[in-house]
Amino acid sequence: MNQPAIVRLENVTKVYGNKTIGLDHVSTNIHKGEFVFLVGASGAGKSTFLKLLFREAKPTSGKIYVGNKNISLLKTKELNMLRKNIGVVFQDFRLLEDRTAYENIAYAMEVLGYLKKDIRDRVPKILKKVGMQHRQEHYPQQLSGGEQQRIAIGRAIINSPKILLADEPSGNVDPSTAVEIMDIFKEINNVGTTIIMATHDRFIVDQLAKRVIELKKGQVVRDQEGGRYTYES
Amino acid sequence: MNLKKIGYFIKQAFKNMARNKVMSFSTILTVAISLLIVGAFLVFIVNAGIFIQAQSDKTQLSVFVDTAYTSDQAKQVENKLNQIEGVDTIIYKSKDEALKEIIEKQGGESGLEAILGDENPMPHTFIITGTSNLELEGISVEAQEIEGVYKVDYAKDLADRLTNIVNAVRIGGIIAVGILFLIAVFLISTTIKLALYAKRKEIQVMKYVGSSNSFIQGPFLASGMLLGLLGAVLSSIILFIGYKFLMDWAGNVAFLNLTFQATQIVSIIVGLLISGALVGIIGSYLSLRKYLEV
Ligand SMILES: Nc1ncnc2c1ncn2[C@@H]1O[C@H](COP(=O)(O)OP(=O)(O)O)[C@@H](O)[C@H]1O
Ligand SMILES: [Mg+2]
Repeated sequence: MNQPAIVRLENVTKVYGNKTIGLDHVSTNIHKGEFVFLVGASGAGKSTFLKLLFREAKPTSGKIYVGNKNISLLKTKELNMLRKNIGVVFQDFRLLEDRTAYENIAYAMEVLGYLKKDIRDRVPKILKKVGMQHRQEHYPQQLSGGEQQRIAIGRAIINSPKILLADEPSGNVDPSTAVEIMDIFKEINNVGTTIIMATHDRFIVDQLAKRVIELKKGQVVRDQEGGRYTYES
Repeated sequence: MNLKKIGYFIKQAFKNMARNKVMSFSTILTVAISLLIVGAFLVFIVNAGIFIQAQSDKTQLSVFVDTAYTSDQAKQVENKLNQIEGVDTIIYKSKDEALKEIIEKQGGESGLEAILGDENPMPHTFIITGTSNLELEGISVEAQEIEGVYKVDYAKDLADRLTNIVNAVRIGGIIAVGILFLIAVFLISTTIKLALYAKRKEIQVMKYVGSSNSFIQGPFLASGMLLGLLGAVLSSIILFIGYKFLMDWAGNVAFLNLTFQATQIVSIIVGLLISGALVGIIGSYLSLRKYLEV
């Protein structure tokens, strides 16, 4: 652990407008290439943790560093830069319904101003990586939950982010599909991408045996390498 | 900001428009009507100005000399008139000429000649033009002071009254134009608001992947500009046709002094096109600022 942390939280508290506590004095380091599970009951603060990292929300107090930069202080351009380096996957996929699988992935390059040629080169590779090359012309409604999630993952990694955040990515798919989805994440992690994943899928956490950060009422109650979903087992 | 990016924005703008045909069409129509009124107003103001100028050129002052004065005495009056500042030309009309003129005007059968006999009640008259029409008022006051001047007739005439009317129309028109612009801006901003709503998911994705603000906003600014511009084009076409017809007609009415003038209508149309684009950009900017915290 000589490397500096790619993500560092220092005493981070998030209180929402209605006084609800999202996170409560959380401090932790996450290093490059790690695969971290955020676990905990619903309302424990997992989504809040992730939202703070790509500045969907700002902390009420404390500091968050991503790649050594205090992200609360970022100017617009730097914020865009931060987001280019962070991919995000949601439980509800958030795909564009009027675009095909291919177009959904291409869109993330298009709106960053990539050349058409680069887009044509790269999108098929990503489709292959998430195992969706055969369904590229399909619209989200024509795809199963698992397939939609693959597209969402493809979109999240199209710009080769250094960090990939996933908020309950297997929440809307059946167990066997969940395992396949996890294989994609493992591969992405294997090439050095840091992955932080909120989940309450016990089976997956236990099977992968990665670092587990457990939250309870916004506080870290456990931080364990090779952890399981619950402490006792 | 490169051409490729602008091309992308414009393409997106057309897509936005195609996606929301009814709203886009009614926006274009409203902008067109607003700008058409603005354009018609400008045509009126410009041509009223030309017309008044033409009328003003004819404005002059008539100085009547005491009827008892001889023509030699009248010459002295003329010398004094000549010294007044601002006087440009003086035309002398003698008693006899004045009488002849009035008899001719009345026609031979009026019997005026017989009634008068040798009497000539008409005064010697000087018709004065000023170096500018603004001088006439001052000249008339000074001429009044000269000995032997019986009366000064200054037709504070048509020109002045027309100027007053046009000024009133101009003020009313400017207020109306302001209101019309506001309506156009409001309508475009509403259309863009709807486009933003329709594209909220795309916008979310763009934010998540770190698109620059210009990339997120560009297509909507282009949309607004396109709507404004198309409205302006429509109004320009109608205005041009209307102007052509009006001037063809006016050309046959001699006293109006109005003719078709390409530079005039072209500059008004250029003005409308710029206004249309501006209205569009302002309208969409307002919506972007309000509904898109980037
Ligand atoms: N936007 C929000 N406004 C107010 N309260 C919120 C908001 N988002 C989350 N919360 C609250 O913050 C706490 C943590 O929520 P969240 O981070 O979503 O938990 P989790 O993802 O672990 O279920 C919950 O009590 C939740 O109700
Ligand atoms: Mg959550």
